[in-house]
Amino acid sequence: MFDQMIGMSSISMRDLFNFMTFKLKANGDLSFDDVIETMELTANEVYFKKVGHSEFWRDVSANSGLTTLRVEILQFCDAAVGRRMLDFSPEFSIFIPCRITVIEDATGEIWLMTMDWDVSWLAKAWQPGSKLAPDLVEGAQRIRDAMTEIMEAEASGDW
Amino acid sequence: MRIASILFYFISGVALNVTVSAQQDSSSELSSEILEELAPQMDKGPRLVEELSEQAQHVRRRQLMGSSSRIMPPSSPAT
Repeated sequence: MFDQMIGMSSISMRDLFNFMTFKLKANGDLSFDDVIETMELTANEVYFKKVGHSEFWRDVSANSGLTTLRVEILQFCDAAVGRRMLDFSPEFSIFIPCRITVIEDATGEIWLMTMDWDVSWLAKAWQPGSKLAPDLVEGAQRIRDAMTEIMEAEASGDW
Repeated sequence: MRIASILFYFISGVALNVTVSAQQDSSSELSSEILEELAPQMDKGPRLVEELSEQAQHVRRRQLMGSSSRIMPPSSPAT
């Protein structure tokens, strides 16, 4: 199915990935460590548990011997909503836990990125296998709001 | 007219020589100090670009700008 979709589409691979991404540029006054710290503090405030932290750049540099740009990936999870989503569709497990990437570009600017969880278009789904319980939809919305809040706090430097 | 042409070529030649010498000095400075800093060093463990000297960092960032894609502007405002 994917080969047919990509064959018919005029959208490039980079545009497609960009379309799936929600991103913000971090406040220029914040260091990379400040951004990570703000993210962790805000996650606590919105009761979102941090479950992982990958310092991806370390492997890149260690394997090449070269200096590299910093990129780290933080993982968050709301286990109750996550479990209910897996009860609805075990295949949804490929999307969890929620991730926020903190990435420095070559000019030194810091960006925050995550998958765009705006699934309001799902309301138009009519198929029997597309119906989520209203409270589960609310839970999913709460997660998206928490992710947005975490990212916007970093972008503004507030916490 | 002929004298003017000879003078023109003489002055151009001197100017070109000065420019090439300056470029050679600049590149030899790069090779002796910065290129060594930029070379792979497996024994040093993970290193960030910002750990390099200011001059080497400038060169390294230019290298990275050429080899990796720039971050695209957001496709849509936050929803």
